[in-house]
Amino acid sequence: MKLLNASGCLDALTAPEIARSLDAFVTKTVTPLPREGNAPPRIAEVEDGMLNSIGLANPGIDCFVSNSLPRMTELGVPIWVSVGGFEVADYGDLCDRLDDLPEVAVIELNVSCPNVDDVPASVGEIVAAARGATRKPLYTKLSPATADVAEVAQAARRAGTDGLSLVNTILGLALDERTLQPRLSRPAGGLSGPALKPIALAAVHACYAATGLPIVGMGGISSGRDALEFVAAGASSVALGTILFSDPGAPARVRTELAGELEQLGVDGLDNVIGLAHAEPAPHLARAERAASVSS
Amino acid sequence: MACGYGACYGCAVEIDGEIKRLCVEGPVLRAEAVAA
Repeated sequence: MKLLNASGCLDALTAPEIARSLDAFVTKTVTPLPREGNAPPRIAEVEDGMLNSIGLANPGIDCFVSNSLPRMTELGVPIWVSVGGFEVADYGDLCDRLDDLPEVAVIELNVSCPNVDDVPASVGEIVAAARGATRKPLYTKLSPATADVAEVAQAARRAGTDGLSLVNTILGLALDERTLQPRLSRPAGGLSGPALKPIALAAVHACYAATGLPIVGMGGISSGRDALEFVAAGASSVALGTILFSDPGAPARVRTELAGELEQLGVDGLDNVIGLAHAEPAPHLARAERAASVSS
Repeated sequence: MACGYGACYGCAVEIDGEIKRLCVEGPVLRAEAVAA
């Protein structure tokens, strides 16, 4: 199991020691052109989480490739580049740009940012465009705010994604205590943190059963126990997001706690936990040995 | 302010017509730069 950061929750260049404590660093989403993002205020703390409406602020792909990426490479951890666009062709162009860069280990397709207005309609079309532009591993980051996330995941699989990142934030609203006006300028923003965890777990559980694809689970993971639950639901890796803001030492702590959880469970290795929350073994995976290792 | 070191872009303020991160460009600013 790999431990990553959720896109946008860590700046590896200003906090390199945190990035080095991960198995891979996921960049903030890069778009074709520079973006300043949404008007402030952009974040609000809420019960059991936070809202953000950053709006994909980033320097654009040209500046990213020429300035940021070479410095990230010096960290010595694999780099996952998150890309986002506003029409299908953007994704193909961005992947084409990254395809011949050996320092890029994986491309994550952010098809689900809740903080921009112009989102391409079809996940399948986006993944197909990206697949046509690169041979690099593709992970597609999905929103839980859909009638059937497993159906979207299956469309992404058919179009050639290698894995899934589950989940992105889900829109929420917070009102000012005194004025009853929205606390964010947009006015709704993406909800993250512990409040998102049950929603994310449900998405991981459903997409694992429906696709069998490798899944990076994320959404409110704050402890080793949380990470263990995502793996049991079907994630083969997990990412830390909002917790990094309050506890920069979370990666090391979560690893330690996970080891303790495994010891308590009597399981030898996290790989044997993947998908254990499923009542019926997924037909595409050999789970008999995993179940046996838990009961023994 | 969520992260405090430039990662989250949450503390953005408008300074001289441009969006800046308060944690990086600040935290101490000239008052006239942030207030009309």
